[in-house]
Amino acid sequence: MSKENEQKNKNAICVKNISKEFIIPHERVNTLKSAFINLFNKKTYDSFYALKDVSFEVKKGEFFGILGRNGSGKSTLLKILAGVYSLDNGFLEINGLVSPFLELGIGFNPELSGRDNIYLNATVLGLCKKEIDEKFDSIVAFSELERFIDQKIKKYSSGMQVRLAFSVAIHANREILLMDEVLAVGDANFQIKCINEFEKYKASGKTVILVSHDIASIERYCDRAMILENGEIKKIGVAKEVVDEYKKINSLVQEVVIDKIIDTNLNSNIDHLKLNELLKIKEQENKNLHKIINSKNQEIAFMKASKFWKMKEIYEKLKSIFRSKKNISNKDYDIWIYNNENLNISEIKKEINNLNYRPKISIITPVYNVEPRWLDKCINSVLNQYYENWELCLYDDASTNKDTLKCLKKWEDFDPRIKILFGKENKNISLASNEALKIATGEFIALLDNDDELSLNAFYENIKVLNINKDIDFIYSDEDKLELNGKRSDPFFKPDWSIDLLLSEMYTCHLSLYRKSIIDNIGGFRKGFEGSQDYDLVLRFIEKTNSSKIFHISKILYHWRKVVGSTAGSINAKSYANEAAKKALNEYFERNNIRGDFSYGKFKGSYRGKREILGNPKVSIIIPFRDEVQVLKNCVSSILEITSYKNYEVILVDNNSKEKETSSYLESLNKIENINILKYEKEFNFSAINNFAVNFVKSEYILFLNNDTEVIEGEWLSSMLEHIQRKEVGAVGAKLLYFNDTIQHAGVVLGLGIASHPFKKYNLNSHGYAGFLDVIRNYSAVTGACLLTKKSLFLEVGGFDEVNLPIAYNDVDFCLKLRQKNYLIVYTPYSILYHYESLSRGFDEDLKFKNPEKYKRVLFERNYMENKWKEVIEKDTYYNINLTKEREDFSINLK
Amino acid sequence: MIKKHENYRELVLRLAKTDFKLRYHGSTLGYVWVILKPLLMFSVLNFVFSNIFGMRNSTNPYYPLELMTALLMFQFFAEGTMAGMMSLVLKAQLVTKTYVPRWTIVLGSTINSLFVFGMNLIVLTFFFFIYDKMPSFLGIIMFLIYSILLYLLIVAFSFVTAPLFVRFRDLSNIWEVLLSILMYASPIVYPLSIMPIYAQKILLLNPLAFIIHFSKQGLISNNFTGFYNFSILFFSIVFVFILSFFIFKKYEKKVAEII
Repeated sequence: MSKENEQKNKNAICVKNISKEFIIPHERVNTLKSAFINLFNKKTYDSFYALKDVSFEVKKGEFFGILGRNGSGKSTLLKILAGVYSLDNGFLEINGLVSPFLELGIGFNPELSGRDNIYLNATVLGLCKKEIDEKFDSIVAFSELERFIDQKIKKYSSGMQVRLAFSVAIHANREILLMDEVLAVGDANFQIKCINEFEKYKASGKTVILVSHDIASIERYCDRAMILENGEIKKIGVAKEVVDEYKKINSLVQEVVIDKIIDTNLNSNIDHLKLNELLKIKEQENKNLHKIINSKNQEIAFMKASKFWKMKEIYEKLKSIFRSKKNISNKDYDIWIYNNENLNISEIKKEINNLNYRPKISIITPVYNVEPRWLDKCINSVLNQYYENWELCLYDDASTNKDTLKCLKKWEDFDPRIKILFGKENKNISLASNEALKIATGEFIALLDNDDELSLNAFYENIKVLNINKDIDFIYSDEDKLELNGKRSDPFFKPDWSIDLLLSEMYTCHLSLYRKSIIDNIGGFRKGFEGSQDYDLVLRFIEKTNSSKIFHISKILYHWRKVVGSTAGSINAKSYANEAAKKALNEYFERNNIRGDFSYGKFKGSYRGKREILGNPKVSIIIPFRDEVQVLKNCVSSILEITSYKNYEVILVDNNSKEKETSSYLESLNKIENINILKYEKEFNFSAINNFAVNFVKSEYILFLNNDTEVIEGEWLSSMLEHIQRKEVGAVGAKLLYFNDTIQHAGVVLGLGIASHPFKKYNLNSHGYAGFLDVIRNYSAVTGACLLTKKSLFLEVGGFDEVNLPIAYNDVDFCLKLRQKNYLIVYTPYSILYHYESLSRGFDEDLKFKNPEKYKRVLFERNYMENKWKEVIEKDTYYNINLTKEREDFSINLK
Repeated sequence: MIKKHENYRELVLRLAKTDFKLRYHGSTLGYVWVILKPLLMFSVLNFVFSNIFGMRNSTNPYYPLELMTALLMFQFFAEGTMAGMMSLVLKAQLVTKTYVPRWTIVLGSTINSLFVFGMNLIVLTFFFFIYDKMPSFLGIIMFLIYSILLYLLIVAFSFVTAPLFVRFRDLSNIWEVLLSILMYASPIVYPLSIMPIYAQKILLLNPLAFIIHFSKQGLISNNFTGFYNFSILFFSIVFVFILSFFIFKKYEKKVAEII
């Protein structure tokens, strides 16, 4: 008897033969009238068993998974366990209090604030007021919703709601935790937290029941699991076996799920095995963060306390979320089209007639099973071109769709310039394009997909450029997308030629004009690169020409149609294309003798070429400072502790520090081998201090770093170093973050004022316009707060301008001097640092009264820059002229 | 079986507090409405019946006091039953997403109107001061007992109708109409004495009318009902209350599936 009791006590949940039947009336009785009518009619209803005779036990301290497809009875079972549904028959024993978390929520009231909802739900879960008061801060902290806690729940996103709900559920401290698809929502960071919390639960001998159709998480975290199918237990046992069985049952489901896993892995760049490590790092970061905020920025703390700041933060956050979802609102784009694209046809025709150089353009269009309505539009867009010396080379890759063939036949004799070839057997896109190339006779080649359209002025604009410079080999232009209803959206305004951007994503894309002789020379398209065959083509093409023969037209000349399955519709549609692109890029490295290799970038469709660092060059990190020892300490120790590349020295330049603490700290640093301390005793002049320090540097590479920065990742230095070692590169900049994980610097764009940091205050997770935040690319300048350059170049261009630009813009000026000598400036998002700059910039106007001297200096520096770099600032080659100069978000220029 | 919730008192109070917040959030005057609403109602009815219909006269100088007392009790009943009836539906998210003893939800909603009634009693006291009328001690005690009985009636009604309302959403409309009938079938705007004797007897069969009538009689005219009548009322309400709880227990089981 006692043994039996013991056995019982070990079970957290014991279920015996439970069933649940639902009645599905044919007509739901929901009003008195229908109830009344139904009295006289015979009631007709079906019944169905959500659960049939289910029995199982869950032991205390077990992590138990329940798998099953939709409608298999998982949620019903969970609701019965939670006590929401009553039993029809059977026996249920639960030892311990249950904390349910069903259908992604625990019953929040949308009209109440987060705070009230916490109190309500924690009470529902059995906490008394005193306990809630004690745990409140911890609940809020876990959910990371400090700033939104007094906002109504209805304003929360679903992710925020889940975070809050989960946080309350785990703080209820009950013995049994029921979880329904928690891991499905929430970002990677939150998932890590969940899992950690589950593990804590398990460790304290509590029971977790996890319902999911994500087999990966079941396999990874559950001890035991069972499969439910149509309300019955299909299999119960050790998690691994059960999962295998489940995979067998439905291979289709498995594929989908695995896809999902790959997706999340790719997107978040997080290896699940390293979750715990990452979390620790994150915690450490947070600690450092608090330290810094407390010690340094009273100003921020003060502002943070004010309501206005809070509101602004929320506003900025929402704004950035909104922006990242849809970079450019379509309404803006409509206005842009109206302002920029009203063309005078007769004048254009006249102009074309006056042009001397009128080469033939061959359009290459492989056709395969395209819907006739799109093909007609496509061909019409070529036929109606203002510039008429073209030929359209259509190659049908043995379409099986009869309508397509019929449509092609229709065009066969329509115009002598349209050449149509019919292939006998299906090859693939690359070979089909090559077939079309064979019949092309033009001087230039343009690629057009069989369901896309050209702008009517497309060739005219290109020819205009060629008439100015006949030597140009490669012209690319901007593009947008066509909705199925014909509406134009998502314009992509590209920067001028940027080799590093091309190595990160296929940005030149459409519409591109290639010189045919070069295409013949490189042998056209290559088999094995299907889906990215044009990427491969461009990569091989640019090796045969040089950057002076590449031109960019800042006009929308090409429209992708968002057809389902086409790459325009969704990036996920073609993952084999990504593989091919990676292969093409790797071969580019091989051909050009670059040691290194490519991996996927931070978002799908982007790539990262990681170059090997040749040799073991030494880097000198120059950090000027004056007192503020806490800040400096934070910066220096983060470098010493985190940096994985070891061959560096830190040069601290002391600019008249007075405090005792500073000198004692410096003394303590004396022992460290790779730290040198210089004293610069004149008044503060950022340019002069750095120039002075460079004189003491013997190593090849110099990194200028501000004292209010903090290293986050070990790779930061090597990620920058791999680019500065390239002989064509003059300077490298990093991704800098404000203390609240928003963007402080990710390249510099000229012409926003004098020069400004684009995407400022964007969320760290956001990729920015066309992903520019998260790809390696070229800019005209990068910030001096973290700037890696070569010593030889630094001396060659005369360093920072200490006479005219003592404080501001000296970094931009320096970069522009490098650009003048044709060196590239590279921005890399793989080097991330904090830069604890005050968020409250832009007080220049107040300065006029507060500090007239400083104001005068700022004005002077501004004027100096304006005059010296007038032309460059007017048109930043790495910023499209159609983008705004009023904001930092790459939105459309509506003027 | 499933281990139940233990901290009922706290739970019910938290639910009531939530209700209270929800009801007045977003309105500019906020909690002032608790007092303002019956006052405005009173002013309108008082104006109509005191002045136009001439209810306030030498035989009935305390008509405004009677009106106020009766009105408050009726409001208490009307709001309490309405809130109780709709409680489960309005808190559907608590019913379907987690386990809460469902009677606490119903009770929590009615407590809210009890609270409002309590607040208004302060106003009523103030009224008695203005009209310089000091009710007898027994009158006050009986008034409180009647109030408690009225509350029991509200809870009993809610227990029966809350699960019903989940199924039949017409109930709220029907009840609204019935409430306005009840308002004029109870001696609120008129004293019972203006009715013929036989009609008085019929009207007093309605427990609401009975409670209202004798509450204000006790407070103002120091006039009470017999022990016999009172005990019938008392026991029948207690009986109905207990019965309603069992009915509720029976019907609440399926609520989560229908809601």
